[in-house]
Amino acid sequence: MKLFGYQLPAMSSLILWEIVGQLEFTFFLPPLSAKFVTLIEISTTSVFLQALAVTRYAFFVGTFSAIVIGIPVGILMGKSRLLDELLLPWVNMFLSAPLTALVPVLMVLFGFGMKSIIITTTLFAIWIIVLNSRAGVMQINRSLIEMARSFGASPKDAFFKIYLWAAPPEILGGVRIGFIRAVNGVIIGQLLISIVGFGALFELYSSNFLMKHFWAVLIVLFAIAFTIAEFLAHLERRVDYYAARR
Amino acid sequence: MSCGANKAFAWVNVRSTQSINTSLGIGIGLAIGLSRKFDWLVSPIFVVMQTAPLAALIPLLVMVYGIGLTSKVIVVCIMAMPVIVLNTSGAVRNTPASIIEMGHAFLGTKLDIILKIILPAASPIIFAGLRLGVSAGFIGAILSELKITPTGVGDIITFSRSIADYPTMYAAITSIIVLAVIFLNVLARLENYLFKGSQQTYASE
Amino acid sequence: MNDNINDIDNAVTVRNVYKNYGEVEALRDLLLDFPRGQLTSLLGPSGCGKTTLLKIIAGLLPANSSEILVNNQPLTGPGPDRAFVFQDFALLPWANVLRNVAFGLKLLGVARSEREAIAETYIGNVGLQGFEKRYPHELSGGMRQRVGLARALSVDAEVLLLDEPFSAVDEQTRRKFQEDLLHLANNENKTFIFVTHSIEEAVYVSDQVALLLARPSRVSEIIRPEGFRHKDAGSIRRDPEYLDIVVRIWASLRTYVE
Repeated sequence: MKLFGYQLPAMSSLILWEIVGQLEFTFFLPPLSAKFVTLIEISTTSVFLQALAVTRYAFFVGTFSAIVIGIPVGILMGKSRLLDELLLPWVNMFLSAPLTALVPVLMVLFGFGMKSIIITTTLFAIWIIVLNSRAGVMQINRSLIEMARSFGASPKDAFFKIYLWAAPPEILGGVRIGFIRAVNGVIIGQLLISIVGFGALFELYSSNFLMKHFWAVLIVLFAIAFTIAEFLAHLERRVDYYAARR
Repeated sequence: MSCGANKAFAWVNVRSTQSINTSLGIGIGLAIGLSRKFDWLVSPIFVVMQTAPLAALIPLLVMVYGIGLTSKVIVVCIMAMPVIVLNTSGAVRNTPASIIEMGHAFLGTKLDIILKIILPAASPIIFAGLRLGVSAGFIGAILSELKITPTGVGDIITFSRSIADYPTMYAAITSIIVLAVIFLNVLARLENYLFKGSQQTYASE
Repeated sequence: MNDNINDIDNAVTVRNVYKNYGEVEALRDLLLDFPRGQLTSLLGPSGCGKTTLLKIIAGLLPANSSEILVNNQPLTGPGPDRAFVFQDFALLPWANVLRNVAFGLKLLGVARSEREAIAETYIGNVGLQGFEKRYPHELSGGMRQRVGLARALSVDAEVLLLDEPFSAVDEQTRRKFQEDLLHLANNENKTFIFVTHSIEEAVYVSDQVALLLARPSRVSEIIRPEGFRHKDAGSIRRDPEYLDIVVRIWASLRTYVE
């Protein structure tokens, strides 16, 4: 978008929306400036820092497991037709199933603690990572694999030296979306399973209608998620030339 | 059986809401994909909505508006819209330039090119967005039922768990998932019916 | 045939065409005539603006300034008097062969039964009978381009614009296409404007070859291979004049390659 010949930055229209927010149509959306003031107020309190620590732990353990399990499973699905036909319907179902309905099952199986929250986070993130890793592997040029085999690569060699290297654009894309989904997952887990971390803060602020505080916390979470997502998108662009070469 | 009727009613509500959102989302996505100005003005909102954990808003919304249609619409809207809008706009923007050019060469009007070239070309990705959007909408709706309201299938789950009646709980959960999966299957059928033969590969590759 | 261009009825005349891409001058003061009913090739090194010129004539690209007449009418945009064949085929992946071929007619508002009957005829003419219900991804590259050709023929435009139509098909199919194009040019009373980077191809099929030089592009030479035009498709490649012209064109182009 250009104005008077100047290129406007991508997210600059948010300023316009902030002005709309100042008109106060609804108490749900306090102006951004007020949110930031509140953000600075509460960000140093121990309640906030504690919530941050708890949520961060659940979030990173959850997404880490999703990545560590999801990528190899996806790669194996892309390699083996049998495994693919066995697993793909389930992966597709879980990708689109209403996962919140499964949270009560987790509570029964794993109790009301951190474990269930972490598993909820993993469940939100893992399926798209599996699917994208699978898609990445399936797009690998056949001749690349034949080349490796002609030079005597073992299946293990092929896995670590070809598949894992050739699929990064799609895998990174999956991880990026997985991260974004995990943010929702960790909050839903904290709201439903046990009221801890940022979930507890949301609960506290919303039951007292402290909208500025509520949005301040939401902004923090958005900022974290956005930073990670942008970082991964940056990595994705750096390996984009892969796609052209295949 | 009043529980069952209740449940059915609630889900019909969610579905009609979903279809309203769907057409609105595709419309906005199309506009973003076609117009630079609209893209600049509107798409940041959806980027923010997609990244921020708006699920946190749901308990609050239900508390304020009750479990009526208003809150259902808003819940499904904030959960489902971003992915539908962003997928649609991305797909519209990525329509292969050569088939649009072909449309111009064979004298297609602007409307022709949107309806007969851009939308069909974008349809696989639009439908992928719809699937994700619909499931996000379900996630939001169930969250609100589990968290707040003493209605719907969420209540059955919460109640049967609290009295350790696990068979009922599992049955309720299974029924929700089956419902969602059936809904998504209908969507897939629709996609196949509308765009038969449309593989996700392009002939010009 | 009279060599004086002014006496010839031209389907398309191009004068004073300028086209810049930002700082880069792609076309400068280009002048070229396309005689009616003849096949003119635009030949030149890659990046010399052949496709740019073709798309300007098609009305798909605006020139910075131009005086282009199609049938003595000033060019205003795409029109029913011109049909385009695309290098990458530009087929609709969700539509079968029949619907792809009929697509141009559909945009012209021809009724369904009529346009499918016309499409059917041209599918037959390009040798794709029995493939009407297939989808583009089920066809080979050569067959896809036959679909693109049938689509362009079915709108019955006077001028056919072909943008390196055979560059994405294999060599044998390509030779067959060249022979088919010769027959087409002889039998249909249409004007062909044909972009290619193959010297042999240009000389083989053309009534007139326009050599373009790069950046900014201008016409350096117009060659009219006439001596062997009446010969049959098989013996042209052995004709001494054909071989002479190929060698001559390469001699004048080679200094501009690399």
